[in-house]
This record gives sequence, C-alpha cells and structure tokens, in this order.
Amino acid sequence: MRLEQMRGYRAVAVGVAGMLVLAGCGGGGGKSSAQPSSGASSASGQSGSITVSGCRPQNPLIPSDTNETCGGNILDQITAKLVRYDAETGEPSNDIAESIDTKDAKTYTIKLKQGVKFHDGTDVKAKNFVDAWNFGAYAGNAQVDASFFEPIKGYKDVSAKDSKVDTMSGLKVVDDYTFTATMERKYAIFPLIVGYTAFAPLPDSFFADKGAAFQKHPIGAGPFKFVSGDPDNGYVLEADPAYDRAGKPHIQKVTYKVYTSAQAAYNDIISNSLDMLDVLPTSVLVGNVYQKDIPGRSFEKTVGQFQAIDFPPSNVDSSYDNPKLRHAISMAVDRQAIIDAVFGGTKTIATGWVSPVVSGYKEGACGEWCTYNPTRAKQLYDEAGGHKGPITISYNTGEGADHGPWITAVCNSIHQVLNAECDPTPVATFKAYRDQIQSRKMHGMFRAGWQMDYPSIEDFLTPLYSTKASSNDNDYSNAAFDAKLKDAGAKTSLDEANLAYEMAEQMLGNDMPSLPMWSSKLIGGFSNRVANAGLTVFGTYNLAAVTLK
Amino acid sequence: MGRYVLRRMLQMIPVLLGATFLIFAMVFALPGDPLAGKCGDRPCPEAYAQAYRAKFHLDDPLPVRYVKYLGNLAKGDLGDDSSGTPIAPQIKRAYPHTIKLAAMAIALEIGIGIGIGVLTAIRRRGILDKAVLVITLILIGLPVFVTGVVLQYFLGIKWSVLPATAGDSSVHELLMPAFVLASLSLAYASRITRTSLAEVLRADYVRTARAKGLTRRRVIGVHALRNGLIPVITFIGADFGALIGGAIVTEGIFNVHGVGNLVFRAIGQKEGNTVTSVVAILVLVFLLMSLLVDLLYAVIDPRIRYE
Repeated sequence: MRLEQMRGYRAVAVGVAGMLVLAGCGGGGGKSSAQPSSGASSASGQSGSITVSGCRPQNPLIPSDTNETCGGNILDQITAKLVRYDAETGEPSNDIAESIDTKDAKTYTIKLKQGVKFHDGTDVKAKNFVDAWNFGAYAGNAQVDASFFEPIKGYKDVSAKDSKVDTMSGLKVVDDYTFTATMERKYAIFPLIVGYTAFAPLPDSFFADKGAAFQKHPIGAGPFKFVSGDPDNGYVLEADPAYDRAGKPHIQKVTYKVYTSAQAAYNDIISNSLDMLDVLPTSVLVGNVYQKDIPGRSFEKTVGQFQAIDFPPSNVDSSYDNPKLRHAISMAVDRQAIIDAVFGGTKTIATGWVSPVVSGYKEGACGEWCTYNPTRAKQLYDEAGGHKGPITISYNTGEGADHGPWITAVCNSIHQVLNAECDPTPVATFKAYRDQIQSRKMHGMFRAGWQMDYPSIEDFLTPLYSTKASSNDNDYSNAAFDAKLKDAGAKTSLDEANLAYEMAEQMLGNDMPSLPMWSSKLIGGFSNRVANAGLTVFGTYNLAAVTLK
Repeated sequence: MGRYVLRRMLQMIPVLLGATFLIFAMVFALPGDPLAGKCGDRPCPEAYAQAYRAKFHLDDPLPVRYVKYLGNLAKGDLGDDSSGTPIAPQIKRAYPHTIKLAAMAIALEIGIGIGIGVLTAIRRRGILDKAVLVITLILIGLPVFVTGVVLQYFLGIKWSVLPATAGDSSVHELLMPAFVLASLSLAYASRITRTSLAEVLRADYVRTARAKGLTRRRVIGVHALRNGLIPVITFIGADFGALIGGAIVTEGIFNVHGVGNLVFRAIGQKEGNTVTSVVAILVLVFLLMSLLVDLLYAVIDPRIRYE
C-alpha cells in the first residue's frame, strides 16, 4: 500500500497515518508565488508557475522504492505508466499502452504506443518496462514495493532470500514495442494495477548505476519533468512540452514547497502566497472556520482512504470472537454523529469495507451490521453474554496523528448503547503501534487505516482479509471468502471479476473481522491566483486541471 | 592567553565524545523497531528489511555501532539517513537558516534589551521603568508559541505588515520570528542590565568619575557599562547556544527550515545518525560560545587575566 504520510497535522489517518511530523526544510518560492506569474510560456501554450504544499519523501525517489505519498506524489507527476487513472473517477485508460490484451486473464500481451519518449529523449520501449519490473521485484535490490510484482510468474524465484535469479520468467520482450506478462495464476485485474507508480518504466540510464543518479534527478515519460530539488527543500517540476497524451497540464511550472506545519501552509493560503494546499489543518475544519478565512477558496474530494477498527486475532485475545458481540459493537457506533461532531462532516460513512471511489464498489455490502441501531445492538450484546472486562480500542497518537477524538467518540457511543466499559488506549508513536501489531501484541480492538494503491475493490479485500495476506493484521481466515477471491481473480472480464469481489465482500459481514468506519474526504484550499484547483481520487494534486487566472 | 585557549580546546574533546555517545545511546534506546511502520500497514519485504538492517548496522551492539559511526565521522562522512539522503548536506542547509535567525535574535536582544535596560537603570522608578517592567513580565510569562501565533496572526495575516511565514529566510521574513525567538531572553536581558547597571552606578568609582566632571555619557557608557555588562554578556553568550537548539517551536510556527525542525523530525523518525550529528555541532557551538564569553570578560574588564 502507499503510506499516507502524515504531515504532522493530517486528520486523515491512514496506513501510515501519523508516521511523522514532517518538518521539512527549505522550499524556496515563497515569494515567487506572490509575484505575478512568470509569463514564460512554452511553445505548447503552457504558462505560469504555481506553488503547492508538499512534504518530505521518506525513501529514494525510485518508483519501486517509494511507498508513501510524499515521494509518490512527485514521482506520479514525472512518470507515465501503461495506464493512467482518471483524476475524477479513478477509471483507468491506456496511456503508454496501445493495448493490453488477454484471452485467459493469465497471459497478457502489451503493445506500446510508438514515439513515447522519456524526458532524456530516449524512446520508451518494451525492455524499459520489463527491466524496471524485474529491478523492482529482485530481492537483491531490496525495493520496498517488491510485493506489487507478486502476481507475475517467477516472482517467487527473484524474491527469495539471497536469490541469484534476477529476472521473472513471466516477462518476455517480444519486440521493441511489445512484451508479454504471464501471471502465476489467473488475474483479471492486472490491467487495472499497472497504473501504480511502482510499474513505471525506467530509462536505460537508470540501470547503469542502479538508480544512484536517477534518485537525484528522476526521469520519466510523464507530463512533468524534474528540474531540481531535494527532500528538505521541496521540488521544482516543469511541464514537458513534448507530452501530448491525456493529462497535459495548462501550467508550466510547479514548485512543491515543504512546510513545517499545516498551520504555516494554511496561513500562506490565506495570504495568497501559496497556491494549493491538499489538506487544511483539522482545527479549521471544526465549525467550518475555513469558510470564513478563505471564502470560496476551498475544494473537497473523497479519496481512496479507508478507516476501520479491527478486532484482535483470536489467539491474541479471544474475548471478541463471538460474531454476535461484534455485530452488537458495530451497531452501537453512531458513525454519522461522530463524523459530524469530530470531523465537521468531512467523511463519507462506510456501508461496507471498500472505498466508494474504486472500480467494483457497491453500496451496502455490510448491510444492517453497519447501521446504527441501539436497541438491536443492546439485544445482541445481551444474547452474546456481553464482553468480559472492558472493551479497549488502541490507536497511535503523537506525531500529529489525530485519532484520539474520534476513538474516544466511538468508545463513548459503545458505552452509551451497550452500557459496557470502553477504554481508548493510545500508543505513543506510529512506529511503536505498528510494532505491536506486527508482533501480534495488540491490546483489544485496534485502529486500522488503508490507503488504496490502485482503484480496485480487490485492493481493499485481498491484502487485508485473505488468509495470511501481507496486511491481514487480525489473522482473519475464511475458506469460503478465499475461494471467492480466487474465483474472482480467475474471471476473464473485469465486470465479472468485480461482481465476484462484491460477493466476497458481502461475506465479511457474517464474521465482522473489522468495523468499517468511513472513507476520507480531503478538504484543501487554493489562492486567488488559480482556478480549477482540486485533487485526484488518490489525494494528489490534479495538476492537469489547474489554471492560472 | 594562547595556552589558555588551547587548554580549553583540548577539554572539549572528551565533552564532545561523551555528549554524542549519550545522545546516540538515547536515540537508539527508544522502544520500537526502526523498521516498524516503515512500510505502513504491511510488513516490509524481507529483502528490504535485510538490506536496511545491514546498511544501518542494526544488528550490531550499540557500542560497536557508535564506534562505526565515529569511524565514519573521522573520515568526514556523516552517512545517510534512512531515506538514503546524505546527512551532511541536510545539516549544511539547515544551519545557515538557524544561525541567521539566532544572530538576528541576539542582535535584537543586544539592541533592544540592553538599550531598554540602560534607559530604565538611569531613570529608575519613572513611568518608562514601570511600563517596561509590565511589558517584560508579560513577555516572560507568555509561552513562545503564544507570542508567535498571536504576532503571526495580526502582523502577518490580518494586517500583512510582515510575511506570515519565512520559507526563504530573508532578513525581512525573519524579522518577526527573530523577535519572537528573542522575546523571552530580551526581557531577561533588559532586567539583568537594569539591575546590574543600577548597582554599578552606585559604586564609588562612578561617583569619582562624576566628581571629576566627566560627561554623563562617558560615565555611563565607558565606566559603568563595562562593569555592568559582565552578567549580561554571560547570559547572552549562553543564550546563543540555547537559541540555536531551542528554536524548534519558533521554526515550526514560521516555517523556517532550520536545525530545530531537522532535529525534531529526526527524533520522531529515529534517525539516530542525524540527531547525533546535529547535536554534536550544537554542543560544539555551546562550548565555543562559552569560551568566547570568557575571553570577552578580559576585553571588558582589564582586571580579569587568563594564564
């Protein structure tokens, strides 16, 4: 998954929510934005430069080594992939790919558009994809996103410890602009996932020094090219005049400025010396203070970030095992009231385990179990014989993670409806919190955030709830559910696959491995210099749309 | 004099070693696996985890790691942080911002603080003295973040007198943060100046100077101030180090990309090497400042001699 980098002030708490308070360093351009736009315009009619708030990447700027939003956002603008996700809907469409064909959902033939060039002027060819994917998967390169290549045949061999095999048998270059990718088993959503940053092609120059030069000056085939920058000072990107596919920007230059706090960035939005801020500080969302500060200068976007509360694995704490008890707890939580009270209404209530922005989403998968119903909840709770000892919900605090208020509200809701004791249990840092979860030493129920990697229903089910999956923190295991996922993966058409995934999602209601809470809406702000400012469903700046007034 | 300085310099070595080891041990003694949370909600791939551990010697015992760190330090190599970014350039970029901020704060402290202190010492119990007492007490009583946020709101956002944030660290941008950073010490400096000068003004030699018919300016400026400023200089010298290390809050409010932010972030991310390197430099600054202060005494007060 891509970690949501909590910049010390994010209310959204997602995968790595609260990972750190980012105090970046340097970002010039504070003044440049206060000046009228540079007026420099490229031959292709792009003009003007804007500043946006950024954050400090945690890993080298290599597509397969970036797993959090700070680095991912920059690389996403620089790189082009086989497919491109629509900013509004997340729908994939071919970008560098001319076509991605398969007869059996197992072997895919990928034809590339000819004439697509990297920013260094070299052609994007089939080998640039194959080499890049092999580089990402090979254990010797220790790439953080290696597991994304798991569906491809031969991944097992290259990812084994101390493996000497560094190419996956499933990838074959046919000619300069064609290659085939064979999956380990049928995998219908493959064309959907290859728009993720880790699947970006890499230029020949990358492999000369395994990316040492590349990470200081990334080269892609995307709408923006890298100009300068480093993690502390932010980055300057310029529109590539040669780029002529979907998503061509109107602006010519964008500066990612690193801020030490949301408040500092917000102050610059108020005084129009920053052009776009993706997330306003939580403090100004309450009571809609921001609407007074920046009237008509805010946008909101529901993004693929999902918040849930997991039940502990049975062998860690079996007191929550009774499904009736789980249903009772879920029905005792008045989600909408909490959203309104704590988040000023800026969340979309969950009716299942999947974010509404993805391909295959269907409302109501959780049905009555996720609907607030105090009488039924109390009744079920009594039938289940209550819960021995207090119900606890642990979460990470500090570093700007803002979960305390809503977890407390959830506990309060449970306490009022079930008359059971419920204790919010904070853990000091995100690191310590993840440490507890990974070593299965969690205390009672625990908060779990998820940020999607690619806009598919599958990304919310397989990694989280299939048996022994990488992020299955509550050790949920349900043979029927696994079989359904497998069945869905084996469908040859995307629609059929999605239908099967939906059926799998509905199965989760019986066991309630977790309480779905909500999807995030991000509220951001912009200056009076720009129009059409907004975010994509991935929560990144929609730089293709923004224009200068 | 030269021998004294050399002796002091040699004394710095064990202090530096001890301080860096303590910091190093403390940062790494924080609970939690540095890799936990590195890959978000999923465990890191085995190969990635292995490479990471090897790179940062996480499997070695602490003293061994510290020695390895020192070895690299001796070669002038501060190493990389966990994101693979070299640490040295980060520190190099952060220090100028903070030094500039601290220098401006010190300048304000000396200018305003000592200036007000002298005025109030001369005109004791006047209306100005009372007003200054109230204002300095308020400044001492208010936490820095309150002063910072309030000034930022009114001067920066509401009335646009000064820039609200200082992303570029130009002198113009840093005026407000420097004042905020200096506010507390400024108040102390003016109180100390007032007290110590008032005391000196009652001394016999000052009366003698007056009796000789020297101008008031010369009596205060040359005779009294030289003696009266010794405690103030001690305070301001020690304060310079504190300003550099303690600018975390101010830098955070005004978005100054300096050392305070770097350290704060590095501690949160368990970037032991970064923290140790930054703090080592901080300790060095402290030691050098205290040496400078001691040498300044000799300049100000001819009775003080170093052998």
